[in-house]
Amino acid sequence: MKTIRHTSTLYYYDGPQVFEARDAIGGHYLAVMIEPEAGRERCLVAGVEPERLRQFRTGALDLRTLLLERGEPEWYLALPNGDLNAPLALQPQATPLASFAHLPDPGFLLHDRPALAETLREARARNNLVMEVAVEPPEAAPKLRILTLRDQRVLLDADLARLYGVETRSLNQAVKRNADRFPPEFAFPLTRKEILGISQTVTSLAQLKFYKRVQAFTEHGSLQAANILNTPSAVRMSLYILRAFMKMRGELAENVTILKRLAEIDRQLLEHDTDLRALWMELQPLLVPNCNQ
Amino acid sequence: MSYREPLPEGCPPAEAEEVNAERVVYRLVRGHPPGLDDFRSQRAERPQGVFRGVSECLARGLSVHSQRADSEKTRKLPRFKNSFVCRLRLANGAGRIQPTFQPSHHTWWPLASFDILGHSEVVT
Repeated sequence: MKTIRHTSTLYYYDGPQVFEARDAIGGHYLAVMIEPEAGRERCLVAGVEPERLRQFRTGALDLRTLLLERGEPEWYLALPNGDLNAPLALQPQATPLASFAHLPDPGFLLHDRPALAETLREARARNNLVMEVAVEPPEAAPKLRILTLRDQRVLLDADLARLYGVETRSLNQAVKRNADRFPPEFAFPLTRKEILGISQTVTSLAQLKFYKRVQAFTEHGSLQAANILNTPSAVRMSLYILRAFMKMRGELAENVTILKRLAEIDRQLLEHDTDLRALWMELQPLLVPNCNQ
Repeated sequence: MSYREPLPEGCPPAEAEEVNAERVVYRLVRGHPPGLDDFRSQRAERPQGVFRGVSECLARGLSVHSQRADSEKTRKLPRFKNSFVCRLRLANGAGRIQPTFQPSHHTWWPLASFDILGHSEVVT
């Protein structure tokens, strides 16, 4: 009969509840304690791939998913008999132990951590909220301030109007008169929450909170605005804006590479943290008084 | 000081903090309302058990969480699916407590004189 040995406890609550084990030839197993039967301790055991086990240990994989989505379909039952030092004999079981009642509920992650995609999105939102693009500006042109809103790079109406040499009110009126040429992916009004968010996070836009209505223009919206204004200054400045957006895209691509590298470092740190925690759990009994064993 | 269960010498360890002000912890219980059986240590449950990776002192303590979310998470495990989350308002004289194992998990050694049921309430 196949046997396994406990190697490290992954989750403890009134005793080890989830633990790793190895068989005689080094195969990896995960054991989860289930309801005792007739007073006997029982655990559900499944063979798992080392890479999937690593994902579970770092909080990237849910316990139920780890158990259900495996290369090998075997399920086992083991009766620890209170002594995890001893080899555990594995009894093959019907899949998965006759019913799903013995499986953990969805959502059991060893470590609670935000998903990588979410971390990246948050990091991008924080890093790129405002980007002052250093493109050689035409004479007397103000610095270009590009913001990230609703996952789009935009210019605010006041900034665009200043670049085009018109009043903000005039720009917005022109846009209003040509509303059919400004779909939402070209221009959109900011919500109150967005206005307050920008005024609180961008020092140079702190005064924005006093404005009731603020319009944001995407790259295409900025060009469309130059078309409808049709002034020499607007046409000249629209080229400047185009170059700025192009440069910004290049810089963002580099930024994403850095963020990915940071995420990779973060993942490695978490792995080391998990290993240290496992080591700590093994060391703990040696540090706490142990008289009666 | 007398603890609810006989403890080995030097247990609780010196690092364990004495509860001398109110603090809230959470424990999974089977009963609703909970009974004293819900507050038995591993050692009391399995007098002959050998607990790998767990000292006798820890085996005679009770697992609690300082964060309710962690108790809720533990309920996802098959062993605890039929449990309830119980809030314990520990107060002066409750015993000693120490962070152990994963974050938010603590081991609590209650004093015999502490009225556990009078300070517990099922919340989920």
